[in-house]
Amino acid sequence: MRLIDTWANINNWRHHPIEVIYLSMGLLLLAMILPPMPGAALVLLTVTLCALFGARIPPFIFFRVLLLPLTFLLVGSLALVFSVSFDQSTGLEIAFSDQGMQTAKTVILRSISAVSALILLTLTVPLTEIITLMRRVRVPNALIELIELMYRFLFIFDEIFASLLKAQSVRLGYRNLWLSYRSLSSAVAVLFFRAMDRARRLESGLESRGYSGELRVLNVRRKISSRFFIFAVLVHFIILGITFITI
Amino acid sequence: MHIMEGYLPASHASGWWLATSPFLAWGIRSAGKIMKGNKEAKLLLGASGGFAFVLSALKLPSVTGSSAHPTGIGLGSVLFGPQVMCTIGFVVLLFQVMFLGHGGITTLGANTFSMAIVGAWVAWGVFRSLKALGLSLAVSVFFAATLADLATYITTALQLALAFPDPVSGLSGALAKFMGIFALTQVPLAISEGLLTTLVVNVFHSHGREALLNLGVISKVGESKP
Repeated sequence: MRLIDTWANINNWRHHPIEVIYLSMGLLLLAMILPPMPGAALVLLTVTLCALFGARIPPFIFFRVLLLPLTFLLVGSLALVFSVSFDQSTGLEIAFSDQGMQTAKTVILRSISAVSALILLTLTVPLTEIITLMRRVRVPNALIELIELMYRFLFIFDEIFASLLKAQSVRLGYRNLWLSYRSLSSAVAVLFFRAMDRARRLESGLESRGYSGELRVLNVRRKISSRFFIFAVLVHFIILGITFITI
Repeated sequence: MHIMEGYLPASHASGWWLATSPFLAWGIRSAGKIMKGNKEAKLLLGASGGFAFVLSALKLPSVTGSSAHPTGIGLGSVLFGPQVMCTIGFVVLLFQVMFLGHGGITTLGANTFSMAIVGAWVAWGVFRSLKALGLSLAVSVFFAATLADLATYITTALQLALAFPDPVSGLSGALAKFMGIFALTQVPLAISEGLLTTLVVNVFHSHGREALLNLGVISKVGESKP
């Protein structure tokens, strides 16, 4: 769980969040609306080059994250490749479908390049920077505060939960299926009580420091690099250009 | 199982965003009210969200040994109510995109609709009606969590079928295909989640009755044991 968050904080593009958000969201849009061949393929290539050589994400990490949704892709596409029909006389018929194959190809290519554009964002921009941007574009305050609090809590809870599971498993709490359910359910319940307790303790800690119901944090004002920005615009237009020339 | 990034065509993805937005706006407004009214409630809401996320990233023990993830939506909806759960579910899905690489930005609307709106309301509706019929806490929770999971997967199958109708038999054929695939993987998962959620609520009932009372899940102290 920390893999993506860690790299978002230590990659080479860490100090250009706005530009990277623009670059990757533009690429995502291109992957969604251009014909997959060559549009999506170009997006995939661009993202790979950007992530590996621009942001200096190690190839092993990049491809590992890229392949995370592979199961969904395989299972979902299986349904696309075959066609089914039901007839009173012939009964259920399952057949390999050429048209379905074509759809599957399009969808797989589009998905992989869209995922690549997305992980360029998630691997290079930490959530805190996205929250800063959300605040600037006036996303409702309640949502932002909820996101901030959940971000603050989830790593703490993850740690608590991992230690609960470890403590149970060294006492053979996961020896068989029934015990596994028993142990897991009590771990979940304990996590809930610990979570509520944490929230109360945080509240009294904040209260004693003059908490008024608002959590203010200091945001670093970042200079937007115009060179980076021009690079991003150029990349988008080159992909658009090549796509229009080749079709 | 969330629909991955780029899987739905642009028109469908934006359509589902549009369908989700009124529920989300409503959920955010009610979350805002909870936060404004009470300083402590704000942190408790954040903690509930963090809890829901950890739960959603959990691996369920299953017979086949494959990793199966619960949605946690049944438990969350029974504990906190469907309106709040819609907002929390949205953020949970956003975090899954950001930290786990599950789902996507373009498909976030569709995934929020199936999990945090349909799932949460089904869980809550089933739980309240079974309780009203006088069934025990355990039975109500089991069906609430299981049916919420199933409703989520049926909605996902419907979303996929709408986007990719079968070349021969159209929408109904596609729905049958996607449901068929999901049924194999998700029905056992839904039952496991129902079971786990019931056990969790049982632990609550015996060790943290006050919490359940405060949240309005059970109504009186003298309620019979599940």
